[in-house]
Amino acid sequence: MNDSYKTFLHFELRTQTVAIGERVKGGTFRPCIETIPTSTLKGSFRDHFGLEKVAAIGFFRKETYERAVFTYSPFDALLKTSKLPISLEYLKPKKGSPAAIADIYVVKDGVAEMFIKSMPAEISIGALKSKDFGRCKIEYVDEVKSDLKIGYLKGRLLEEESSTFGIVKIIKACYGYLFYPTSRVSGVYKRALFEGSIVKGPEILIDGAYEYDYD
Amino acid sequence: MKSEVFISELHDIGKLADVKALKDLGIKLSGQTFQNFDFSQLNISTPSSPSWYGQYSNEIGSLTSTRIPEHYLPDVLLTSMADELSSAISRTWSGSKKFKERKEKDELVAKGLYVLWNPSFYDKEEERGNYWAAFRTPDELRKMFEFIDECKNPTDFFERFGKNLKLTAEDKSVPFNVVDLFTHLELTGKIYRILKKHSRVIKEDDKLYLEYLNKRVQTKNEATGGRIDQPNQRGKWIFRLIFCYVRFPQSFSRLQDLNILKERVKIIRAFSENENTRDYVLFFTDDFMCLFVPREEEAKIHEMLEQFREDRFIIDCEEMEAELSLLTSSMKNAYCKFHNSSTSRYLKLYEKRVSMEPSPELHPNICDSCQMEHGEEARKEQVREYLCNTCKRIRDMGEPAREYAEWKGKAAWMKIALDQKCLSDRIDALFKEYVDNSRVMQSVDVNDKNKLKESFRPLAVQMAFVKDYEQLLREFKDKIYEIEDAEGNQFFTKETFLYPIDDYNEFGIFKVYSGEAILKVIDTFTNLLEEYFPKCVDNSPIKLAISVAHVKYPYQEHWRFLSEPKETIDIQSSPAELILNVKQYKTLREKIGKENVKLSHFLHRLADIKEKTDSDMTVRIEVYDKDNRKKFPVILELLEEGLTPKQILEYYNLAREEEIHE
Repeated sequence: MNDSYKTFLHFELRTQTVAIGERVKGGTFRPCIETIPTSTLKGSFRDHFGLEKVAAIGFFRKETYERAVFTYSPFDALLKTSKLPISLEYLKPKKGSPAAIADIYVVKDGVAEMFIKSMPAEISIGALKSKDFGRCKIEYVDEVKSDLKIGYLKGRLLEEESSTFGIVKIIKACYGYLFYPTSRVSGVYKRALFEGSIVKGPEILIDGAYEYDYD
Repeated sequence: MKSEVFISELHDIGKLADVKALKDLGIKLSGQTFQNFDFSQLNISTPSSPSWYGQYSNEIGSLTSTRIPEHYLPDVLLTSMADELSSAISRTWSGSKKFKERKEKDELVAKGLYVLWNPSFYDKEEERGNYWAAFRTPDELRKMFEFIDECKNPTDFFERFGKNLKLTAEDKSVPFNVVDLFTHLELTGKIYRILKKHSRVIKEDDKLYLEYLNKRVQTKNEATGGRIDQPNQRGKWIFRLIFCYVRFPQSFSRLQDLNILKERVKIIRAFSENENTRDYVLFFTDDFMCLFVPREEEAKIHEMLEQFREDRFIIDCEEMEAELSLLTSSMKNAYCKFHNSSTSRYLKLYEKRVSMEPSPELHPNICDSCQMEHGEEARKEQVREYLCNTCKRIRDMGEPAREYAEWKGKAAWMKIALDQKCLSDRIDALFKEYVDNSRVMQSVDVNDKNKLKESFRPLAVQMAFVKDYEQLLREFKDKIYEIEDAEGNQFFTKETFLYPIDDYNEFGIFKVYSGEAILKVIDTFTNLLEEYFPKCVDNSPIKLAISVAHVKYPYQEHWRFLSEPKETIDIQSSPAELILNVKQYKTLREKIGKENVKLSHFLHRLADIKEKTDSDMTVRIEVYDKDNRKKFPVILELLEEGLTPKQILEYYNLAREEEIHE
């Protein structure tokens, strides 16, 4: 493969309510992010299609969604008590938009190509699935060849996945952590590149060019 | 007793002398430095302290000079370099001979300082009886020379002559007169000391050199290089100007989390005031520092900012690394200009992050607050949380805004912020406007005007702006408690308008009794903005954000809104957002009165039409309707001002907010 290209399979995801949380903060408020990290999609594709090694990332289209807050009281089944109410932030369609729409890019390989055959499909992502949050329709759009560009990363991906996604240089790392399941019941937090990192990588991952120097 | 130290700042003390007044009293003077002064006129001998030789900084450009004792040459040369960097317009700017001659003859001299964002500043000070000059009589001049010989440190100088320095322009000619001497000399002193700290004097074969990072120089030009339009005049000494935006990863879920703001204020001030590091900090605010530092080989930025890293702050840096004469705070503009010209000179611009390297992997649970460390369980009331040591320590620092926890009903979180990027652009625009519109400049050739605009270096001006900004914040805080209600009673008390962090005047929380409370806070802000920054009212780098909600509303959501202001006045009253410039706010304040049900219905209808049709024309047709025009003439005026029906409606809803009783 030419170094200046990375090929992705482009999917469109539509949902009415989705809450992709940053982790619980103080126990009473869960803010929602506006991109779909690789870890979220990895978990969902594994649950729905049995795929273990798909590298995918997503970005909601700004013009299609707005934020809203849902408040509920979680019930502790063991103690048979309700906990303090939690306010959960979620994304819903903006007035005039039929759905909150995201672009999903899957790194093209043999497994991913098989994945197309499952389309269109319904999947769930994010929090509060028991209350019907995060139900999404996903369908294949096309194949995208993305040029290399230097700029600001617009999503979240594990640092160790950066070369899989075609990132050839990390110029400025804005680190955070993403949860990485190691089994059905456990996992670890792995260091990840967050929005605002400056990278040299496929254009589809970039939100605005970086035009200055780097070592 | 004679001082034995060289005080770089004193090189410009002569600018406090009123040459005209002294000449009228029979004293013969040439310019504003006194190296050629005839001291017999005052019956005193020539001063001889090290600082005296600073008077020669304008004429000494080389270590080979024989004008002063060799021992003082390095200090004087370094002062000259620092002075050049601190001036608003390069001393070597390439204007025409004719312009330079006019300037030499003092034809362009203006009365007092011209503050770009507040042009009437000097006139107002004069009305108050203040005057720039400190030395107007032979006796005062005699005392100046005594002071040069006796002054022990820069602080003595600033304390004794501060008032005069703040009213005196660094260069009295238009359009050079935009930086006050106080700021210019503060900057010169800091830069001089950093240059001195990181260079050394070498004498070899009876020749004197200054060496920095193995680059030896004998002349100022060798070190600093030429102007940007001199492609071959490469300077040997490369330094860095770094804008540091100090951020933190924590989110606010409890009031104690606000302690991180206290921690940030504390660490920035400690770094900026510590005797080992303060000269690196040219200026700072409570979330920002502008540093002047040598190259990485000489001073590692991670090591300099180690304490910030240890305390888990994140510093996003914009770093310009360049030859001394090319360093400027308008980094991005200079970078574009530099790369559009073919040159072999050195100018780099980087964006970097300085922070503690996080572990590649964390085992659950992750800290709920910063999400950057492993967290240990911490229970409070019925809530179980996981906190790392840093966030736990911040929680344990105390309970800011304790009163807030007892409040009921609505409250507003308020933040005033200075947008440094916007500031740099605004200052640049104001300087261009001054060059174009100043009466004195009308007779100046357009090429000279363009050269002046290109040669502008906003660093010192930016530093002066920040001082006025700090003053505005202090006065805002005082004025808040002076607001009165209709009966003349104090509107806010220290219990109803909280400043949760001592000495952090950008951030407050207040009780919202009614819409009027919010409007009074905005009025106070806009009035001060007009007083301190009248030329920035239309396009202000200083912004006010207010987030109004029930007291239980998530703190981090308030903070998210406050952290990203879009216009001069941003108001969030969930779910509505009102984004206004000052003019729009003033118009709305003037035209929209108290509750009026019919107006409310009409505004809702207009907002609906706009949303459904996305057509301004359809909205206008509705407003132009004969009946509507008669009933609501004010709406037409507001639309003419560029306001949208939605903005008018949101403002109306805010203003008519009912009295809230607990």
